[in-house]
Amino acid sequence: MFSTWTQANRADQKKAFHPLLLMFALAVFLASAVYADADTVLIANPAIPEDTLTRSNARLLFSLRRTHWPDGRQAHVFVLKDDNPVHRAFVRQVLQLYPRQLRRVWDRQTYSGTGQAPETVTSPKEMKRKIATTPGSVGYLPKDMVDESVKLIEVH
Amino acid sequence: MNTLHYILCGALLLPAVGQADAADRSSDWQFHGFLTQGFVKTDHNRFFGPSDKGSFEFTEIGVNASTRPLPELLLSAQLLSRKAGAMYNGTPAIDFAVARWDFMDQDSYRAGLSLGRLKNPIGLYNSTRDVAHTRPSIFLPQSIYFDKVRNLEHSSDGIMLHLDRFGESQLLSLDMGLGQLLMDDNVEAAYLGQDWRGNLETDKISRIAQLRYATLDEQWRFALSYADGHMKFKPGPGDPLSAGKTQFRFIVGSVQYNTASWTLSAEYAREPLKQQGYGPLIDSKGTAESYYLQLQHYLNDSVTLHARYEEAFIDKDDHSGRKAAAAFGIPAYFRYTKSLTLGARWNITPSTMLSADYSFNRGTYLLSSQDNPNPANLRKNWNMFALLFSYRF
Repeated sequence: MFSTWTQANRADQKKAFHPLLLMFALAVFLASAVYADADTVLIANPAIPEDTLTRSNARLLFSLRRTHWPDGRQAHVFVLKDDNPVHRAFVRQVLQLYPRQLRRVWDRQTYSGTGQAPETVTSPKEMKRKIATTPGSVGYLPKDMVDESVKLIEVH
Repeated sequence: MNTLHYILCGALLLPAVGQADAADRSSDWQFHGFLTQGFVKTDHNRFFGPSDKGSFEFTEIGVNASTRPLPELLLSAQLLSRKAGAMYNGTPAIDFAVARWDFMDQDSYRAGLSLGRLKNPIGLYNSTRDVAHTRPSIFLPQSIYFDKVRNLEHSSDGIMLHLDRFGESQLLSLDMGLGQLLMDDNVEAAYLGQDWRGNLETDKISRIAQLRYATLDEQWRFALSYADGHMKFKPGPGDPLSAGKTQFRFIVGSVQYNTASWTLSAEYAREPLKQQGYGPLIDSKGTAESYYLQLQHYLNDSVTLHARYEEAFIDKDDHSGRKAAAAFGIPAYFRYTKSLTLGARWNITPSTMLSADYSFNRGTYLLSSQDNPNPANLRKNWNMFALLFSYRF
């Protein structure tokens, strides 16, 4: 009897589990698809006067080959981890580079004493907070997270 | 008193400036580091320790710190412990210690000056050669990045001028420096056959230069590198060599092409070398020649496959080594190395990676005589398997 009960239970579980698992998988898939396709934008501290940047200048800032804004104030770059979907999306869409290419440039500078690496933050939320309060700062966010605490800069 | 006084005052003020800045920018200081452990197994000949039995004598531990006390001033230094077979014993040493001042920074030009222990800008990889994450394979191509004279190639104590020209979509850079190359027993072993009782020392300041061109979409990189070295030997008691001089120039041409899933790299080097005054055993004049072709394929964000073919010759006019064999009665295969390396790398996380390489080798020119003190034991054909784990922050 005991064994019948467990078997029945298992069969139940199997039935109950499957659609749930499927739905979960679908949700994860959709979420990741949404994230990967989410529009990311370049943002800066509100005191930065620029409204637009050329792609080349954005690349120079994020690769830290240039450490200041066109008007001379020192730039402070924030990024998310290399494998963060928002980081990947920004690097692909806006800079039109691959994360490993940026990493290569940062590594060359960090480990040869010719430059530094950007500061890594742990979440888009923290990114927004830091950009809002750090003079000269630049970073990125999913477009729908941008508000008046930071400045959106168009890259063309 | 005055110059020193000003320097001291300046040095005392620096932390204050940094602190004032830190009020709104908490991350003025940066700290990075890495820890790498390798394992090497060869069927014959030794590479990085007793690899014929299986060697763990390949450890790299480095930490670096950098800060910008002023927007145009960068201070950075790295401490490195490197165990590499009989070549390097792991004693921590200052890997680089640089003050870089960008004295001119305009719309499309930048000029800077570096002072201190500087990494020599040679080829695609020299300036980050000890950081496993930046290497395309477990070991850098020995044909260009000789581990048997790593210190000599790696850095110099001196001064360097940096010029950058920022274009619409490309960056042109020129580095030009004067410095004292770093000498050690490995250099003596490589150029004079073994570590004698006497000493090989630098004779004159070296000139080091690199011209680079890179597209800002990171697709193309070109570089032309130059370094020269001037050394003199003071024989010790009983040494069979007289006081001689060694002079070389090292010229490297580099190209790299990147696509979404491939990186192709190729480098070619020539090293004109003149050794005179030592006696018939060592005196020579010739040009070494070497190159490699390398392909990296990114399967996905974490797995990379790589393949490389390389050749290196002591004498560009004697690739087979037969002339030298006839003249000195040594095996021809002492005079060249040809290698095919195949490998894979797995970036487990952005900061940890695991890598495995296998290489088929012919010839022993690129092997260190420190690891292989008895030439009679050297075999022409040898294979190598290597594993490496690395963590960085």
